[in-house]
Formats: sequence, C-alpha cells, structure tokens
Amino acid sequence: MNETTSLERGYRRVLACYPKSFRRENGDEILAVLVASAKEGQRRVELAECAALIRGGLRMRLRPASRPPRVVRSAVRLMCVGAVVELAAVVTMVVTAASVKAALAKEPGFTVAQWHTVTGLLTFKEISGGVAVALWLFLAWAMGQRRDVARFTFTAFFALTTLTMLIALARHAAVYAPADLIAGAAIWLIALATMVLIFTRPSNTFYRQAARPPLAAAAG
Amino acid sequence: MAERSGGRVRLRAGTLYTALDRLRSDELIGVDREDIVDGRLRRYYRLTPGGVKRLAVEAARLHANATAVLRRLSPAGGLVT
Repeated sequence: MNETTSLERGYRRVLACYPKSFRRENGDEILAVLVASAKEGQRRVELAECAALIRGGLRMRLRPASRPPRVVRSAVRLMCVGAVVELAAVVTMVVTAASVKAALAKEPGFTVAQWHTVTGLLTFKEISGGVAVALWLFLAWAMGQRRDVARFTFTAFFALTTLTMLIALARHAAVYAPADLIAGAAIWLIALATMVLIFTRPSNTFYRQAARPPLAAAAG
Repeated sequence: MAERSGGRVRLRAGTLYTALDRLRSDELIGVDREDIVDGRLRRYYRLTPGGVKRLAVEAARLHANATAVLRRLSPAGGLVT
C-alpha cells in the first residue's frame, strides 16, 4: 500500500466526525487539501492535525446549519405559546364537558338528535384541539430546523383557523360560548403574529438558504 | 495563507472549512468553479457582492481603529493620556 492511500484513509476516519451532509458536499475537497498540504512522506495523521479536525467537526455538529434570525426564533417561541393556549382550551373543554352535557340534559325541549349533535361536536373539538396542539409543536420544531415546507403548512393551518373562526362568528357562537370565542380569538391572534414573523425579509432569506443552490448554478 | 500573512496566520484545514461553511451559509462567499487536479476535486471560492461589501465595511472599521491609535501614538498628537 502506498503512503498516500494510508494517509488518506487516516484522514477519512477523522473526517467522520463532520456532519454527513457536510462530508457529502465537501468531503473530497477537504481531503484533497489535507493530502496536498501533508508533509513529504507523511503516512499518518499528525496529532495536532487530528485535534484540529475533530474540533472543527464538533463545532459544525453543534451548530446545526446557522442560527435562525431573531424573527424566526420569536416565531418558534410564539408557536410554543400557541400550543400552550390550545392545550389549555382542550383541557378546559374536557373538564367542563360533563357539566355542559348535564346542563343541556335539563334544558326543556332538548331532543335526542340535538344531544347527539352536541356530544359529537364536543368530541370532534377535543380531538381536533389535540391534533392542533401536536401540529403547533411539530411546526415550531420544523420551523427552527429550517424546513421551508413548515412555513407553507403553517399558512394552510392559519387559513383553516381563520375559516373556522369566521364560521363560528357567522353562527353567532359568541351568544352561547364566549369563552370558546375568546380562546379561538387568542389562538388566531397568535397564529396571525406568527404568520407576520415567518414571512418577514430576514425569515425569507433564512429559508431560501435552506436549499443551497446546486453547485453548477452557484458557479460563475 | 501563512505566506500572505507573513507566517502570522496558520490555518488548519479543519478551521478553514468550518469558516468557509459559515461564510457560505451567510452568502458572503460562493463557489466560483471546480477543477479536477490529479484526480482530486479542487473548488475555488469567490466573494459574493454582499461579501465584498461586508469585507469593505470591516476593513474600514479596523482601519479607523488603527488610525485612531496611531494618531495618539504619534509625537504630533501628544502623549497618550
């Protein structure tokens, strides 16, 4: 075995401490630099070299992509608040469901069909609320991970929330469920603020970088 | 690099590529071209317009700092108080 291949294998082993995505893109390039700058007849990776490479690799792993701009970090925090408010609404709904049903049962002229509608609606709202909590949290995570698709999923979610709000208002939900409306409005306002934050210019730049342009396009 | 800085800066590949990666993700540099030399990939980087601007601002800032210090040190400027 010649000394270059033995040295190269040594470098490859040390380079394993770099993130995979980085190695895929820059592995061959950095290896070429390392081999070219090696001393004449060098067969093994020097200790200092090895330490510097491990340090670089660890630093790169600890810094996942680049730190999101402040607006994105605020958006992520806001989405966590959204999840908490949503969760509070769901918990309140679950806790008070029994008393609501009891109160309705006493109502004169309340038919069985109406009873089924109300229980069905309550169950639906509990389940969809739970899903919404999970969605808030998942999207907050994805947003921090620079997934551009998270922004567009959130937009769809926001549109759905707005639509639900409007339907509730049109049906005069406020007349019989002010608490529900307040919770809905709070969640909607949080979603609106998040929307504004994730579509500001710094956010756009941050998410546009996510998909690095192909090398051929970047060249020249 | 060591040559240009008169031996003051010795950049190891590990440090160099961490810096390059960060500069690239901040869009301060971009890949200029790629060559295959002796069967090995060689990539050339170039400052982006944004990178040139940032570098000029940084250099001007350092220059201003150095000028301020030199003015204080020069005999005409009097003693350092």
